[in-house]
Amino acid sequence: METFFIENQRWKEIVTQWTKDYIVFAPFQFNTHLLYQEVSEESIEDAIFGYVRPVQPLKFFLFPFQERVVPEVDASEKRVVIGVSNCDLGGLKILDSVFLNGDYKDPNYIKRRENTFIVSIDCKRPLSVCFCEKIGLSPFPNDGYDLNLTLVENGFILEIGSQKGERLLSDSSFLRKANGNELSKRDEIRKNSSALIKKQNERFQIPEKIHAEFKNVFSSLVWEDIWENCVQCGSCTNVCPSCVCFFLEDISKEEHFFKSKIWDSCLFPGYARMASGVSPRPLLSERYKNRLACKYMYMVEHFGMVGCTGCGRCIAGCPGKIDKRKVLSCVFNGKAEDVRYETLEYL
Amino acid sequence: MKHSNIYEPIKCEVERVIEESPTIKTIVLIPEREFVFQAGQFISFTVPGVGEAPFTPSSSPFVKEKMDVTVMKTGFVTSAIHKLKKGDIVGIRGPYGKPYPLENFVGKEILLVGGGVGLAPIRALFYSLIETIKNYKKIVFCCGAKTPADYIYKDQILGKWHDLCKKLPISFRITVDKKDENWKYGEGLVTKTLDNLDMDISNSVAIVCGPPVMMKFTTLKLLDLGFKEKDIYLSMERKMYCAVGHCRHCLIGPYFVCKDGPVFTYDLIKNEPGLWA
Repeated sequence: METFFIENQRWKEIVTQWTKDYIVFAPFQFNTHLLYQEVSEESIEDAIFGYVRPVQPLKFFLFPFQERVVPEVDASEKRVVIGVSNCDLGGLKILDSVFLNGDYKDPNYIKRRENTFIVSIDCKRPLSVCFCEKIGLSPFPNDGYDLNLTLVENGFILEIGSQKGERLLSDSSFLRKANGNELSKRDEIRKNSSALIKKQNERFQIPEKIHAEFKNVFSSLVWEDIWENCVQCGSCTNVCPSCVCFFLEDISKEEHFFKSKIWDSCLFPGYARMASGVSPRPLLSERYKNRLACKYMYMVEHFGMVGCTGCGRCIAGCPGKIDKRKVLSCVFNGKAEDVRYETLEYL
Repeated sequence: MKHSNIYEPIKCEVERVIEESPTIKTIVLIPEREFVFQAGQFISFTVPGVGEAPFTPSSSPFVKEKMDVTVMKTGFVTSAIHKLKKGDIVGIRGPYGKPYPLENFVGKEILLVGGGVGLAPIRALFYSLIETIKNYKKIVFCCGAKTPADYIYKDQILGKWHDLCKKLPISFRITVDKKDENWKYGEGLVTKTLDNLDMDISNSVAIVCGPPVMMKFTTLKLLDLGFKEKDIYLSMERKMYCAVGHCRHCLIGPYFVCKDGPVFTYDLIKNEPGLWA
């Protein structure tokens, strides 16, 4: 697809223009984190384009925590989400596979997906919890975006990834094609951030083909000794870009059906518990293992891709300080050790 | 007509409530529009304002304007279902899941094993089998319940279905865990009815539905008798919400009970953790 160079000021003009026709979200810094906020003409100077991934995964925009599905909600507002990282585009592939699957398409998701424009950004440097390269992803996207940005000196390299992306730029005749020099600069930046992520994860022993190896460790006894720091709060499943579990709540009144969809977590004891009181996974150790089996084994069977994108949010969000990279290292090493992280670096 | 919203139920009126046993009722529903299912498929049953739970219809798949759903009072939704009365409005979604693969049963002897409320899906299957009886060599129907009072479909299983045996290659083996003075059939667990089966096991299939512990021991006994793992069809039950493969609650290992099941052959799921929960 076509690549352009765009100066900082011009980029802000484009985004400001978008705010007239769309609800535009971009990352803003709050303390040590980036969070998505709605962009306005006034706030655009503070938006941060092209650094690290925000705290919220893209899931928050397409599959919110709680929403009515019967009758379906009005999901017609057009949104542009700027700052999506490649790990979240990986999560988006899972979401699409689930909610746009065959005959059964989620009524809200299908509309939201159509009405959401995705502007991804190459990660300039990783957070200390990032490990996408260990899962076979890169900190920059190859597909799945409408537009992609790479932060370079004085501006951005902008790549169009879809017809929706072209539509976003329809009025922007002032773009200039990126030259060879700029493109090789982009390659260099990308190579550099890949290398940084690889380096900070060198000590973790996660096999390259984790999906092929996982079934060999499924019955490992190490699982028994590495789940104890889990407080089953559901934080990891909430912030995961590819966790999709939800339950339905019926709030019908007499003859009018109303149903809501609400996120659930496979770590909760009631998650799979049946009316009889019996659960196929009564023990937390079983539920903990099942969560990872779902990511690295079951989702691969269902969608042909690992259900983990290495975004590290489950690590950063864990009150028990569980570092999933350490968990996997223990399991693949066949030796239980402390799986907690010591410190995390933020922005 | 295909529903545009996968979660929107079809409105149904409760036509009748049949008290099958102290804990089990059959709700006869009249859907707002024709509802077609095949034996083994299930529906998601909405009690407005209470919740939704999956059940396999127990009536004949050939009857399209009415549907029986047999429900044991166990939890929140089933308790609300037991309170339903004639004229109440409820909702159903579906049908979901794969039907019993009748095409795999052609030319074979069929063993049906049902325990308690597990006889519900087997009744729908039985109706289908009778309609296509020429395709099968014989049917042996083993039924079990805790006590005579716990039997569902009494007028059929303990009554008029026995007339079928006179003209069709069908036989019944009926037991209760604990009998009373009026009981004229066998006593013992349903696995006991599998002793001295007059069947060509190598050319037979077994269809099992009942509580998990019953399915477990029935499966083990069937394997002992020489049934092949792939010829044992089990009706699996899991917590379920969406019924369309989205919400992931019903996974048994990588298999969705809602999409890949609810009927599985034993060979497929035998190694999955928590199978007999």
